Amino acid sequence: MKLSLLTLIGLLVFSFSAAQNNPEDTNLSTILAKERNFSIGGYGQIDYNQTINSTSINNGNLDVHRLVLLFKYQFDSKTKLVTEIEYEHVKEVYVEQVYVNHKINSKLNLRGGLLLIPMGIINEYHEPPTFNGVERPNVDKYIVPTTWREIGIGINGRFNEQSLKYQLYLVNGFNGYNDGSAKLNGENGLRGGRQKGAKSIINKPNFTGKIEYYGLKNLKVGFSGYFGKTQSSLYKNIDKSEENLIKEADSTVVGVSMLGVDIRYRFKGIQFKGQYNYSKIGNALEYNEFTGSDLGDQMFGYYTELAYNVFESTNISKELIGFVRYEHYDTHDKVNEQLTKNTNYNRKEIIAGLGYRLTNEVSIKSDIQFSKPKSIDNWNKTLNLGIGFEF
Amino acid sequence: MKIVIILFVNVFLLTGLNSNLPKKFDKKIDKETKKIWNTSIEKTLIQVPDSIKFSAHNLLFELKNSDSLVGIVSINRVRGCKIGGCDAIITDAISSKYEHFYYSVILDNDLRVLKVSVLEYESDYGYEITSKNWLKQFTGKSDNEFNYGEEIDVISGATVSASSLVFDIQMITSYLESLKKNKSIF
Repeated sequence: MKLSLLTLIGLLVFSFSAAQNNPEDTNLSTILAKERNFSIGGYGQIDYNQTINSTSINNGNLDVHRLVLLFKYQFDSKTKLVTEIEYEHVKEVYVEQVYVNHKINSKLNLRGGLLLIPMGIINEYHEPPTFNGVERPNVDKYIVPTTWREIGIGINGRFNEQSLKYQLYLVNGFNGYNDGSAKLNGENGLRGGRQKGAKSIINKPNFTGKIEYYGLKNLKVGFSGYFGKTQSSLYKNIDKSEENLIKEADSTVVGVSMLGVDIRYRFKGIQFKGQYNYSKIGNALEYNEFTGSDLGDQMFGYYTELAYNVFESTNISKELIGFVRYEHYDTHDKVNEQLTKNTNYNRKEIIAGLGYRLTNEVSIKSDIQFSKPKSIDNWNKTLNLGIGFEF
Repeated sequence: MKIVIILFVNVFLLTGLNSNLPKKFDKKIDKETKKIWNTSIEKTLIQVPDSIKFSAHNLLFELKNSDSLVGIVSINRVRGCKIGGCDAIITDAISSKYEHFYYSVILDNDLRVLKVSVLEYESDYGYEITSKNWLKQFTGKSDNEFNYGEEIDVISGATVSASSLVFDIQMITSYLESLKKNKSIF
């Protein structure tokens, strides 16, 4: 018995000292539990846009289009905070994202805060080196109102065996009517209704989600959805018996359903991207009658883009990417009977250009953009030059 | 009584050693080795002296099927993407910018890859590397056969995570080759 006690003590001391010698190096559980880290990133783009016209003289525009600072803090292995602070055109400051993500396991994360709506490619991933051309695709401006973000909560996760990623969020909707004026219209669609989490008003939450499949080699496909109703400032202090006022407020609300599909394919030096978005607006007739706006009933937009790294088969490790993108979008695809389709809103664009990656994180971009609304015969030409970076 | 206590203590010590891995890593690797060899495989931590350690985060286990060595599994932590992107291949030394992830690689006695798995991946960027189809490309290859963009396809939007995984597997296989040659550990 005496011996065994000694053995016990001896072994305990041994195990204790063994643990002391190397307390962290070999114990991944400890390392994982302790992992806290703070990281900083950022991106930006500085643009020059010049309309080219043989019959008129036009000002060019030079703009620090955006400068963005990203901060991430990992509180522990489960919980992180992500923030994105953006300066647009030098003097407009926005918080583009701020959320807390809590991981239960890789299949289930809880997320709450100011979230990006997972619609299309660019709204979620918009660092300049990730897209071709000086400016983001215009489908991601007029149909998907990039950068589209609202306050919300929800879940996300990945099923690695199936190569699926999903996101499901309950978010605040667009503000369709504020302080006596319509925020949605024919030309810009839903864009003017974004509340961006700044003193936003809410009557009814909206729902959004995306499923991405990345199981096929070189290919990634995403399906997005967004459903809900817009908010309105008219629901302010209405007595529940005041049916007329409630009706009036109801007529400033439209239903929004948006669907999207996006594809990214890469093979050797060739990259293909495509995106299609469709939105259906409910109650546009009443909305337009009450507010005097010209919001369409249906909108759509798509783009396809083919890019090739010219240096692919050479020894040069840098990338020189030539690309062509075709876009077609119409914010007046269908209108109600009270409205005539405005063919200015049916727009086509062809963008062709070159991007040179000075380093992997800095690209010098140039492109020429031909755009044409259906209403006119000539293509408008714009020359774009830009510097894009991330760090 | 004596025997019971000694047995108890020894069991305690052994389990102590095996808890080097978080449970889910442990389970996942056991499941994979079982699938490869169609039987439960015992894995024992290899105590690598600090002087010849591959990295601070690297763990190596011997894989044994009824006392005969069938392979090795390495677990390591590598650089993932950074917040705001996954485009740039790592060239700078500011590692705190990057997120990290854990992966395991199971190798046979000839140090040929049997299976690569991503054990833990946090980032919203570059998670495409967790795709089975992409990871399958490593299987059957050994030292010097892992070149990002050649034998192993690139993934756009996951440049950092994909290239650092490929690079790490390349390094670990040649590290293990040299250990084997010098008979340092096994």
